[in-house]
Amino acid sequence: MSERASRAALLRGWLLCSLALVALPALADDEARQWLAAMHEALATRTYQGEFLHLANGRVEKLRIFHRVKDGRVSERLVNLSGNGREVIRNDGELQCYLPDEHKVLVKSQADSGALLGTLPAFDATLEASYGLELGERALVFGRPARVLAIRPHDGYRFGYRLWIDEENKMPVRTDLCDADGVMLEQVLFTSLKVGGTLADAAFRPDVDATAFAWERQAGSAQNAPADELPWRLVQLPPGFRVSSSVEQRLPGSSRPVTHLVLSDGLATVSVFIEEPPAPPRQATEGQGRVGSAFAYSMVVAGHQVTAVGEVPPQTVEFIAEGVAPAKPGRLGFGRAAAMPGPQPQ
Amino acid sequence: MTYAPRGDRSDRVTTMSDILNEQLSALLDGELPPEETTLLLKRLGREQALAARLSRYRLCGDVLRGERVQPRADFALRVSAAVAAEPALAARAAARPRRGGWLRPLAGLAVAASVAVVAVLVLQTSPGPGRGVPLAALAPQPASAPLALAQTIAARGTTAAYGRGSGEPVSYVTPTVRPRLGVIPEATLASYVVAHSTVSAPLAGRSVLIHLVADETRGDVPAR
Repeated sequence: MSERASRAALLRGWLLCSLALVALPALADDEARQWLAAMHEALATRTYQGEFLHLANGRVEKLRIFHRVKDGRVSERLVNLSGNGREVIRNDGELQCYLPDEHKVLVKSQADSGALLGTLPAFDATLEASYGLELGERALVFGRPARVLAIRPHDGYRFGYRLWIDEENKMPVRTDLCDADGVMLEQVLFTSLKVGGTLADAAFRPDVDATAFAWERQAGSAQNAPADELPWRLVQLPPGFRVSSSVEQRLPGSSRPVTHLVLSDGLATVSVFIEEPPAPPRQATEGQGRVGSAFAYSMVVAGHQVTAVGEVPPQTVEFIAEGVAPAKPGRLGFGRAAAMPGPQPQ
Repeated sequence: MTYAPRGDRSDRVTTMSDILNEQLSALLDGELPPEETTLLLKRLGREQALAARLSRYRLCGDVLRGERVQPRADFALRVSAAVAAEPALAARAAARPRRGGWLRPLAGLAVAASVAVVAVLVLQTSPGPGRGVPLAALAPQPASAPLALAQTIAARGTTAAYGRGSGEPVSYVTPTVRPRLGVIPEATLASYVVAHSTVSAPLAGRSVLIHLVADETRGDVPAR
């Protein structure tokens, strides 16, 4: 074999070798997608109960969860075991939030009881524009084998997850919420989990006697409001976010109709609420809010209260709220919203 | 892992909290032996002030800092930069990690080897000037002690170093939150969050609900 031929053979060998090796991560991605899909299916379709620790902001709290899927209907009850007695019960299209420390119950009827089942993220090309998915090593969580799966955001407009998915029942036995730098913001760790079996109706009744509490109910039901027909538009959206639905509804404790827009990048969800200005003496709100890792930003646009809420970084809700503007005559609304580029490099 | 007390009697208080810290750290990693897990969980359920006390010890901060991004070897950074800078590989790389990231070694030696091979090929093709990922952008962020997200973000912004291929900036810093703003009243915020939770995907939705029932919305528990 000539020197030239042997060099060519060597080059071919290198190329084949590198191509074969490059293909491996692609296979791993497919497997990661399967694990993610299996986890979401387990979360949406299995009946389970368990206790978990919730760790955020330097605090640890212990909670119990009951989750039942029966005849296609989802019931869920979340109880704080760490002292304040708060509970959330989601039952057949209604969400009740018991706040004994405030002597209050917030009640929200869901427009569609199956809505949560319908919003399962699918790891497709849309999602991959905003997130990377990596299947990690096998790990033991309380002695049970689990696979580690990372969902990594491609920019600072969204959070990501590290998931420990139980190999047998496909439930996320540990969930870390992380920012774009991989810094953990919150952790949920199941210390006990029973998947399968049945749960009686009694498991979905509150421990607290709430008869003397103030009940703040949502009045009326939500109605679909096609985004294109709304008198509002979004002039800027973070990359990857799209308007997925819009409804007219009323919020608990309020008699005013609210336009509720739902934005999604395939995984993270942001709600935008647009309300008429509050009647005196209440004043319009301008500012920020935070419930755990969910951030909110509220401002006044054309005399309306605009509030963006979502489990995304504070910059994202601010960016989205600031993009709400009255639709100009002749212009279509949210359906034509353009995804604007994010902040420029510095 | 052992939790044997150490030090003399004068260190007794510190030593006990150290043991507790180690136990909770192991618990949160899912690595605490079952019998100790049972005991610690019973204690957590019995002593409602335990979480607050642990918070005072900054235990969680310690636990979480242990989860931070591990610095990568310089060679790995250069490999990532080279892969990200090569337009032909950029599309594929978009679906793959570019940074030291969240996971420890992912797909094992084979993947590492493939990256190394690609790196050799790519480095030989010598990416043009101005298209490389700034190494500074890929360098591990210094760990900051407080876990409060707002503080973290306000302190240094949210740095992102993910590009979309050639021609686009691969590094930017999103603006920090402006401190001049007011605060949304808690009752109003709760209504928004309840309404939002009904449209969230299961994982994020559960997380939102957890925060509704968690104590944290009421601010820090005073140290006892």
